[in-house]
Amino acid sequence: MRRLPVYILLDTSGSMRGEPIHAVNNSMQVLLSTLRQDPHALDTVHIGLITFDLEARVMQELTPLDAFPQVTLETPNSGPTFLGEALKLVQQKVKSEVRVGSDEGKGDWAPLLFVMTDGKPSDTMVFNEQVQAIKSAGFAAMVGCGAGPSADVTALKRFCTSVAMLDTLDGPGFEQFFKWVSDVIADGSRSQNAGAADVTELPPPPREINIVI
Amino acid sequence: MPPRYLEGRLSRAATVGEYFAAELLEPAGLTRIEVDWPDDADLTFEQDKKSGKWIISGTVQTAKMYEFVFRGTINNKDVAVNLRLPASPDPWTIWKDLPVDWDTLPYPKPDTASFRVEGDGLMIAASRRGRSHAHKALPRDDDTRIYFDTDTGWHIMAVADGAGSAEFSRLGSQTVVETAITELPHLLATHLPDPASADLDTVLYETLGATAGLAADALDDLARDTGQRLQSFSTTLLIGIARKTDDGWFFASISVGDGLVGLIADDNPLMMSADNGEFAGQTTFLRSDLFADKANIAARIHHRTVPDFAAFMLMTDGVSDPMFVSEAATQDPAGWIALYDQIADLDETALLEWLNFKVKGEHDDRTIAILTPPETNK
Repeated sequence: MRRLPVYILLDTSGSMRGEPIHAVNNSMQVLLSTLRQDPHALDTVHIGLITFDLEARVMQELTPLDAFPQVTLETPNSGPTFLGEALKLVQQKVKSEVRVGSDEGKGDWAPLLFVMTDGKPSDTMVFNEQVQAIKSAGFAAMVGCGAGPSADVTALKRFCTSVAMLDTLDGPGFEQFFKWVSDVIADGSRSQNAGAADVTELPPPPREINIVI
Repeated sequence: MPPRYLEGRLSRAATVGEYFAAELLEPAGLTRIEVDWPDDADLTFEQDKKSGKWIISGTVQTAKMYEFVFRGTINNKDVAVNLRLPASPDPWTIWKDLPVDWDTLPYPKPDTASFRVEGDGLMIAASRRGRSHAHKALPRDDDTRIYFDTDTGWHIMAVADGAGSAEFSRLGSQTVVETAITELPHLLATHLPDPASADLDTVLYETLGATAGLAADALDDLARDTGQRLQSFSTTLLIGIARKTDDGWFFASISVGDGLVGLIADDNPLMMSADNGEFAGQTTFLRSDLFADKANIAARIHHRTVPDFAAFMLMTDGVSDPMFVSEAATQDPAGWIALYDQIADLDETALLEWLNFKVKGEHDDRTIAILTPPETNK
């Protein structure tokens, strides 16, 4: 069966501590429970979750939506934002997890990438390398979200196909963004099922979200 | 002393009605677990003696977030662990079958269609709106037509798959299959009176190639007449023709886009060239500019002459994707025979029902057209 791989990269650096990470955890739960009411999504969507702070780590390997466990993210007290390392790690995961079509079997649908950060990449050199590399990683769409006043939207613009901006790091903002993420994923599983791999035309975001590109 | 409160973490979530087993990843070091289970779940905790890991297993009955606290012991100290277990519905139970609102959409098309035409062989065809379309109240984008020319003895079958992303592709697919059965009879009568003596490469280009070209022109006309973009009518087109000859049967086909054409007769069932894109789900659609490249069109035409055959079939990818696991499988007669075994005895009404078959992740519109030899009874 053709899977729709979805990679979610979440900033868990120190500045996310407290209410912001709590809001992200809640929003992630809403995202999953919304998608679980969609039979297309249940059939095809697989989600991989990567977090980044002073390191990038796989919180959950690419997992079918129905098996995706409850995950609660935590943050260190302070520290850097290794977005470059996260981009590097997700490319490794795509290479090892996403199936490519061949004579012997059908490939997965082109994967989707979502990145949320409230800061700017601290690992500048790695980030500069990875923004180039990730463009040829085969993602059908790369959606960035810059959350709060310190988010470096310009950095996201360097590789994302769409970038959204949230003014504040609070619950309603994250919820709106994740709601949009679930629309993009559901739309992707549907249009790809229907025979068109064209997910670069994303569904319209909620009014609360300010789309930069 | 009150117990310490901890957050539990499981290795996986559950699906309603489906047995599952998950490992308790956190907290570690539990030597005892005591749970008041929720009513709508049949679950147990067991500790693996070797690894000491706790495994929760069983089934749940409700699609929701199960949340409960269990008591346990870690290092002889009492703990209370909050555990959250998401449970998904069985996807088969939540598909909706919503009617299309034709008051707001142009170019109405029924959700299903089936046809039966008897010639020198028996042709039947069926087309059905996919679950993915029914769930969103979207129309069927596939289409099919079959035709037998009593004057020349040609059997003509056409199937088309309108692109899911194209707004009016249901009209595109209808237009191209109608063009096929309208234009081919006179072209075949003129250019291909006798397959045995013809320069086949030339005359098939002048018949099948020309018909596909006319179908592409018809899409251009639609775009011009309606003022819509040509892409709004995007569709694939598969055409198969067959005629009884003195010593057997002659078959030919042309294909633009995905889906399959096949002949169950010998070791060589596949009668088309793969037209799949680089990524899953990408394909070529019928466009008049394809016809500027004569070699490209010629490569899309296939023909065979065989003494005898069991079935000649055309189908859209809604059928071929779930039925054939790979490109390689489409070249193996076994897969074709396995498919035909499921439908050999079905008439067009039963075939339409069969198109409801359940395969996970495969919910597209489905269309199939089949020609079988004259002795077929159904």
